[in-house]
Formats: sequence, structure tokens, C-alpha cells
Amino acid sequence: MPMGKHGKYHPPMPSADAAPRVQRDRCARPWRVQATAERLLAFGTWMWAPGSGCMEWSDGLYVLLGYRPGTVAADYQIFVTAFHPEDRPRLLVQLEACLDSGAPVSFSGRLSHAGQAQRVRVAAEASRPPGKHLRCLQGAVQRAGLPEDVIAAATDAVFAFDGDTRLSLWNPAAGRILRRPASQVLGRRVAEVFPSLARNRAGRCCQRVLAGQSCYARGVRVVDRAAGLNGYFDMDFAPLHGPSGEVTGGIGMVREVTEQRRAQARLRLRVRQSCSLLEHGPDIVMRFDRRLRCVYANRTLFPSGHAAGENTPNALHADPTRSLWYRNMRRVLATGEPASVELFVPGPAGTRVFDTRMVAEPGPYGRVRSVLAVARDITEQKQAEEALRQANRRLEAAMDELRARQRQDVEEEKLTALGTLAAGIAHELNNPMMGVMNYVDYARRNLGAPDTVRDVLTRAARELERIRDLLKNMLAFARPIDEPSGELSLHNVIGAALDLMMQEFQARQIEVKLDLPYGLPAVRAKEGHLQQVFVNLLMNARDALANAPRKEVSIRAVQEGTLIRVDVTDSGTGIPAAIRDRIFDPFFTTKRPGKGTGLGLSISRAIMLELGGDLVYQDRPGRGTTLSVSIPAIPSNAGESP
Amino acid sequence: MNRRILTIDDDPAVRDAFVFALSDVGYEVETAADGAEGVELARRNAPALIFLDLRMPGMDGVETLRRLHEVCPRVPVYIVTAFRPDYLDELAQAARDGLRFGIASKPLTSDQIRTITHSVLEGPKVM
Repeated sequence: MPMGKHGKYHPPMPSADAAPRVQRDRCARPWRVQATAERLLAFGTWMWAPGSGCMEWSDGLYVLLGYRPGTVAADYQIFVTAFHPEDRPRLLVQLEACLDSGAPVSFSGRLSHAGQAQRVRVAAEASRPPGKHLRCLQGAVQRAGLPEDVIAAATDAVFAFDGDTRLSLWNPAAGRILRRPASQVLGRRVAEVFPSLARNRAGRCCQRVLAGQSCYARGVRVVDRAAGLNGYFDMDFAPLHGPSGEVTGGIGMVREVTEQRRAQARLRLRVRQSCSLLEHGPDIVMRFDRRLRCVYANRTLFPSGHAAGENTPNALHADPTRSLWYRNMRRVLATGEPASVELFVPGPAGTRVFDTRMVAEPGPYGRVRSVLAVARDITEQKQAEEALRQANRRLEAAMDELRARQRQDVEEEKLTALGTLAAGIAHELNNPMMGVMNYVDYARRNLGAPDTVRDVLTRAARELERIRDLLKNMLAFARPIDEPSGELSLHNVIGAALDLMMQEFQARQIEVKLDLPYGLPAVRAKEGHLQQVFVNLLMNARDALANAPRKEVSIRAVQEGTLIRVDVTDSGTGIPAAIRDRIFDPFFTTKRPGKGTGLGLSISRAIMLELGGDLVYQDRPGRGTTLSVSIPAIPSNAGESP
Repeated sequence: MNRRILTIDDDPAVRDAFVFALSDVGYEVETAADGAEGVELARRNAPALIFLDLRMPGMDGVETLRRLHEVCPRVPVYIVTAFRPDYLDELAQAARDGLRFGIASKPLTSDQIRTITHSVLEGPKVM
């Protein structure tokens, strides 16, 4: 009796009343049929060798007998004692006869186990195992007839049919799965009772079974709307043999696999959708094997189709990035750690930047099997970042400039406030000053006291004069803030400034030359501001001429394009080259302490810049000092000059 | 010869300054604390010279100047002021209107007061 490769016996497929048949060839039928048939129809196999001192049996018999092989007395007696006491003598006679003659025997009796009796058939034959001289006894124990209870409890549909394919067995599961109760189908042909679509397949399977072959069909579509059937079946068919080995009919099993099929379909759909996402997403996705060959690339890289098997796609393979690419790829392969690298790939439309991530993909045994590379084109993002950075820089520069201008404005505001304050104080001090000066003078003149007291009063008068001069200088910085701009005639402005200074010039015998051409255009400015500029320039000229042999101030205006330039020139010694650059600095002064604040030119220049003009020093060596005021003229059609 | 000098100033210290500077040297100084009083004095008896403050309560210096020109057009007037932009425009306008005046910058010393007075009353006329 042959044993399976793994010591498992594959029992024959008996017909309902056939004695067990020792089958010498192993059937090449699907495992599921064998396993189910074994489960349904057989308990197991046994073998006893007189010389070996032990008896072996298969798992099925172990379950039935309750003994593990090799753990009990080494005799077939233990096997015999499993049977009903009335059956034991006959079984012993049969087994010994078989051992004597070597001819196969068959015995039918009752197995007693766990208080239940089961009718079984025992097939036995004597044989000589390979390499052994002694004859051994072996056989199979089989249920007598079909195990109705097991079949009835099966969850698969089980049915049996005769040589005319007429059904002789139809278990409850078959009624449920195929939507036909046993009463409607028993005695009818298989092909008649199967639902449409599955009918032809079932009929063909039956024909093959009756020809002695087992067969199966997977995922057979079944539709029977009247019976509410709409799904898929797996079907298995196997022949049943009569006592002499002829095919007497067949057994079939049907399992409904609709849910599995649908789940599989859903899964396939999911996979397809995921693939679609992968294929048509914005990122380039590639997979590389251990030899860094590209085994997959999505359509983002190759819109025309798949390029599996090609080498690293040229798109990301350009020379400048090759070493970077391979170095990272090898590291991922070696360490399994992911890598991230920015690739700059030159192309016809300029260099593109790819943010590339590489991830190791382990195989079934943990070793890195492939590398998945995901590359995203971030060129535009990079360009936008760069543009943003530049805009930021420009903004910061503008902010710096604004801050600087604000500081300048604040300074100017401070100076203006200082000037206003100084003027206010100076003006308020003038009257008491005048009183005190004259009181002291009167006291000095009418004092009959010794010379020392008179001398002290004289000094007091001198100090008072210093205070007076200081107050005058402070007054020069009175600068109205809220005066509105208006259209002004330079004749009037310069004339007013001269009016104010004329007294001083006359007292110092300074000659004034005025050269203002008739028809000068008007200018737009705050009158007080512009007048202050000219007063400042005239005061500077006056001070510059203090010790000059020839005392002359000339004021000359010319129109130069859209600007009017007014030169104020004195006949003094000029400004030393060393300090020319500093004359417009605030608080820079050449005068004695108390004689000047150093603010005049600074403020004047600020005023002229504010008006869109300028105030500059003109170098005229040996010809005194010229300060030039330039100011935009109002176009003649917009305003008329007096 | 008329040696009467009129000083119009709201500040007594300034009025004192003119009194102390000029009364010693043979001038008769009349004082007025505001423009109205000064105009009234000048109308009653025209002085030889008027020193006029610009900033005063009530009638200000420029207005007083116009009124003085009406009551005694031939009397020279010296505006005694610290240069303040507020009044410069009005003064310039007054000058354009034909009012004649001199400007003296506050504070004035006794010598300056006498010099101005002498030059106006006895020296060649500046104005």
C-alpha cells in the first residue's frame, strides 16, 4: 500500500457501498478535493510490522482511537480492541488470514469510541516494505457508506450523482447556495438543476468525472434572477468508484465566492486607482533595482509610456548630477536610510531643479531590494523663493532709506523746534535786556563813585552787549512752521531780506550791488523760509566782511533752464579749502562762541532741498565767497512774475 | 527847536531805557504805554522823533504807525523791534504803502539811542 510523500495516505474515493480499495497510483487531482474527500470519507490508515515492534497509524485514526502511535503496546491487538467485542474475533481471523496468504481482505465492523459505535470498513493487505524482509500488514479504515451527518453539516454545497448524472445526494448547503431544495433536485440531472451560466460548466465537469477524471472550475458566474442568485461559484468534481474500480458516479462540491470575488475586484480597483494617482501625479516616480537599473517609471517622466528596464532615465541623469545621484542611491541601498537631494538638471529651457527623495524598499527577507525615487520639479518654487528674497532685500533697503530719512526729518524737526524756541526766548528777553543795559549805562554815567565801581559797571555793560549779540543770532532762526506755500517773486523776497539787513549794512558801510533781471519767473515756496535763507546768506556775508578792506555784497539772479540761480557773493577772503566741505554741517561755525550757532547754512540748505532746489558753495579763488541758491521756476504759463 | 521824543512801548523797562538815555543829553522824553495813548500824545503835540514798539497789546505797532502817519505825517518814526517774522510782511506792506520809518534792532544801548536821535534830529537826514 503506497504512502504519500510526507507519510500521508491518500485514500481512494469509494462509492456508497463499495469496499475500500487499495489505490496504487496517487491521483493528480487538486488538493482541496483530496483533503475534503479524506475528511469526509476516511478515518485514516494503519500499518503493522511484526518485527518492528510497533504499530503506526495516521492522524485520522489517532483521533478515532485516542492513542498516539508509538506510545502504546506494539501490537495490532490494540487496533483490534478498538472494535466492538462481538466483531473482534472475525477481525482477528481476517487479519491473520491476510498475513498468512498475503491476499487483500476486507472487513466490516463497529468501532467503539467515546461511548459511540461507528460502522466502518477495514481494508488490509500484507506487503513487504522496501528494504524489509518481513511481511507487514497495512490498510485503511473507512466509514461505511457516506457520512451523512458530516455532509449535512458542511458549509459547502455537496452533491453526488450516478452514471447518468442524476443527483442522489444534495446537502442543505447545496439547497442554500444553489437555491434549490433537495426535494426539487434529487433524481434530476446535474445540468438541469444548476443555474444558468454555470449549467454548461457543471455538465461538462460531470462528463469528465464520469470519464474518470476529476475537474474543477473557479469563479464561475451564476445568475438566476428568479432565485435571487447573482454571484460566483468555485466548483470541484471527483469520480466515485464501484467495488471493481469502475466509475459509478461522481461527487461535487460548490462554494459561493461572490464576496471574495467582489472584495478582490474592489482591491484591484483600489490598486488601479492608486496606480493612476501614481502615474499621473505631479511627481516623477521611479524604482531602481540593486544594480541601479530603472525598473519602473511613471508617466510623469515618460508621458508616452512605460520605460521599465531602461537605465536611469536621462532626464535625471545629466552629467552634473550623475555623481550626486549615484552617491545618494548607493547610500540608500547600503544603509536603508532615506535620502533627500536637490538635483539641478540642465535642459533646453534652462536648468530645472528637482527635489528628489530616495526611499529603500525592503524585500521579503528584510534586505533592501529596490530604491524608490520620487522627484518633484521645484524650479518655479525656487524661482519664486528667489524673487521673494530679492523683493525682501529691496524692501529692506527701502526701509533703511525711509528710516534714514525719518531720522533726518526728526533732526530737522528738532532744529526747527529749537529755532522757534530760541526765537521766542530771545524775543522775550529783548525788552528786559534793553532795560538792564540802559539802567547799567545810566548808573555808570551818573556814578560819582571811585573808578573801580565804574569799571565794574563798564564790564557789566560789555557782558550785556555779548548777551545782546547772542540774542540777535538766536532770532535769526525763527522759522515759521505752518506757513502755506505761495507763488513768490524773488524781487520781493530778496528785497525784504535786504530791507531787514540794510540798517546793519549801512552801519558797517557795506555796499550792496543788486542785479535782478526784470521778468524773473515766480517761484513756489513759503515766504518766511525763503526770506530766512537770504537773511542767513546776508548775515554770513556781513560777518565775512567784518575785517575786509573792500566791503561789498552782490546779489545776482539768472535763469538757468527750469531753475533760477541766485548768487550771493561777498568780497571777503573766502572760505579756507580745509573747511569748505563742512560749512553745511549743522553746528559747524567759524565764529566766536556766542556769535553764531552754526545752524544758518545747514538750515538754509535743508530749506532749499525741500523746495526742490539747492544751496551750494561756488569756488572762486581770490574773489571772495559765493553761495548759490537754486530754486525751480514756475513755468511762465502757470504763473506770472511781477 | 523841538527836542521832544515820544517813546511808545508797553514795557516800562524799555520806556525807562529811552528816558535814561536821552534826558541826560537835553531831550525831553514822553512815554506812552500803548499805541492809542501814543497817537493821542502825538496828535496833541507833535514830537521831533517817535520810537515805536511793534508788539503791543491793543493796537499793534504797524497799525499805530499808520495812525501816526495820519496825525503827524512829517515826524520820523523808528520801529524798535527784535526781528520777528510775524510783523515783517506787514512792515514791508507799510513801506510799499509809502509809510516811511526806520528800523532799530532791540535791544538798543544808550549810545545807539543817542546816535539815532542825533542823526535824525541834527545830522543829515537818513530817511
